[in-house]
Amino acid sequence: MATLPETTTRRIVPLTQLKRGDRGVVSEARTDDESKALLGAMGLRANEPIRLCRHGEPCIVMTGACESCRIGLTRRLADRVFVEVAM
Amino acid sequence: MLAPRRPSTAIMSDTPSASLGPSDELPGDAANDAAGQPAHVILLGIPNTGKTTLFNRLCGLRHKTANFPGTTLESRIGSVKAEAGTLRLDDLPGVYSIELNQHEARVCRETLEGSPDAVCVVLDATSLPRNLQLLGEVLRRRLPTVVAINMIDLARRRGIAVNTEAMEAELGIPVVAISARSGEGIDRLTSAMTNPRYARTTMPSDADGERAWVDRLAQVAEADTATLDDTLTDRLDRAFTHPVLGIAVFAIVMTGVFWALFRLATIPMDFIDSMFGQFGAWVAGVLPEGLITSMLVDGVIAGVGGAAVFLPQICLLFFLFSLLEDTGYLARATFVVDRLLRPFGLPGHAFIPLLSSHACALPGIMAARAIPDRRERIATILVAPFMTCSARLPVYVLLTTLLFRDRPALAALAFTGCYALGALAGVFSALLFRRTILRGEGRPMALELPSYKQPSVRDALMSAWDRGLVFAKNAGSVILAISIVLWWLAAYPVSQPSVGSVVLTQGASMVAESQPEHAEELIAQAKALDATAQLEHSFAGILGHAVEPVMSPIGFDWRISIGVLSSFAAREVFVSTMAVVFTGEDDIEGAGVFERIRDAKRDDGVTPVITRATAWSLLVFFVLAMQCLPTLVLTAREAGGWKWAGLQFVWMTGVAYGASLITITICHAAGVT
Repeated sequence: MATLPETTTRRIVPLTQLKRGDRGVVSEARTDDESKALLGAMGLRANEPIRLCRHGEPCIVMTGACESCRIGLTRRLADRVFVEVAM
Repeated sequence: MLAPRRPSTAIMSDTPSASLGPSDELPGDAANDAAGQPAHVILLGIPNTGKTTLFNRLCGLRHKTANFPGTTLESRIGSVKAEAGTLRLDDLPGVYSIELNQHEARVCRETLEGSPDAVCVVLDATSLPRNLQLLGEVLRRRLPTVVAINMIDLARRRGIAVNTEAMEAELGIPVVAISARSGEGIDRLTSAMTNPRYARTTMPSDADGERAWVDRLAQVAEADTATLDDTLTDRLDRAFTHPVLGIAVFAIVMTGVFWALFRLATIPMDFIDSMFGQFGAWVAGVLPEGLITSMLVDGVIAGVGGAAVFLPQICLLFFLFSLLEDTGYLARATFVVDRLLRPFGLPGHAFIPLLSSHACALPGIMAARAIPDRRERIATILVAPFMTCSARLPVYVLLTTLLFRDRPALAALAFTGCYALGALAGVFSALLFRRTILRGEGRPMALELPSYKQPSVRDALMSAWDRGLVFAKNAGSVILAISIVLWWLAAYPVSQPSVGSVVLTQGASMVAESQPEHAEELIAQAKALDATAQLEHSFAGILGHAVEPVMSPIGFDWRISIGVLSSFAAREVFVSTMAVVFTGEDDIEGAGVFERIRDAKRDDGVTPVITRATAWSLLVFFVLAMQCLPTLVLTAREAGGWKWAGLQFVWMTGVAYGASLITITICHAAGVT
């Protein structure tokens, strides 16, 4: 389970506000239950570390501590996935 | 048959480190039951773990494709030869979790609830931690389980080690490292499948407990430490999904696919067409002339040949798609196409069904099963037949040749225009459906992007084989039945020889000895006259006359109407029907047949039957009309009812009629005759 150090100033932003190479930790997916369950099963679940590989449409993220899974999302969905990033 | 003995519930615990005590070992020698039935093993895994490759490696051609009971979801059922006997292997759809509220997940749950003898969970060695959730869900169901850790060779190359012995000790079930691609470990896996065990530990039900269980197992497997350097993949992804470069790459790749489809597939298609033609001629030569022979030759053989001729294109299309998918490119292309199709209410997933429909709408409509959203799926199914399929091509060739006989560049342009018109009609129809009867926001897309890798030719060949068999099974019987019905409509009632043919026959008998070649020509002309008269007075001809008032506004007389009516069952019969109607011969490439169609006159003896305006109207009609009974049958099945097939037929026929009317009106206004 990944979290940012307690002393770091954090903010929660949608994936679409990250730039290429930015890292963060998934906070939540503000979407319908079915989509949330699917995203969680794919690896975009709460407290999962991610790295943004591509900004825009599609938004591509690597998930997991060893960055083992690459997921592409449409911008509309990426707008609803919120991550915790260090400021 | 393996006889599972479930452990007592009194000693079960949900804590991650709990143990069920010594794991239950099943009788290893009893791989087949007393009645000789194969043990039943389920293959399960998340998408992109190489499950398909593993199934192909284990079963080869010893499998069949069927639907899960009560669903349109396909399953593959194969047999695996193991030392202890034969195993039946069921390949379940790839799912990220069997607890999701998804059709595929429901099917997996129901199958597991049927108490299979064993479950083989396939994990991806290159990204083990994300696979463990599904493994935990399966173990929670207390079924005899085997774990196959696939792509172990790829993991090794990337410096990822997986401690299978530690995993086996922790879980108490067989854990086998394999490479389905190279065959490494397959024998050990097959042996393990005949000795599945119940796990000594199960995943807890709460979210925190699940996370802890997965993390612990990842640590045990030592799979949580390696990190990939994916710079090249990042660069390729950015290129393939770029708003401009991505579309250019997609256009180049699809042009290549189309080129292969229409150049390479032509060779076996021509061979099959010729083979069936020669076989029909041989049968006609050895059997006595009569209705039975006519039914065999013009009904059965022509029908089977008519279906078989599409097989090379369908097989080649799915061979190429499988290769592209295996490289990892198709997942990226889906996002590129999503940008193009989304304004019309269609998802990126729709591009495979729509592209496949350019060969034949039948596999295209079946490919629509991959679209998760029901409304988007139905919209795709409804508009797929607008894509120009192979059956339309002979009609396009005939009409563009009539229009641009000595101007091949213009004919090619008209040909391309037909493709474009069909595609545009399809996407705009989808937009209309998605704004009206199939209104609703589509599901936003999330897709795993698999690693780029060298595609498996073996898997692509298996995919082509499967698709070809499914097409032959689904379409072959319907097309054959249609061919026999069309033959009957054209063969009955049997008309008497016409006065003209009687005169020619008598003339032939008079010169048979002195001028045998001339006599043969006279007999051939007599037969042609009889064939034309037979068609005119048959049930097909009667129908043609009956609908002429409806068809005449768009330029079709009764003869063209016969062709159009028969092509509502199957488009490809139009050209041969026209040849018979105008010349009495069914081979359009026969000497002078095309010229006689071009020069045929209407009942007034002056006006050509097919004027330029009529040819344009016919071309537009064939681009847009719904003229394929097998497609309607499949639409009813895949979309969930005959109301959708009815809507598809009425909408497409209405659009075709309206567009033809506009076309002929413009032609007449512009003085095109």
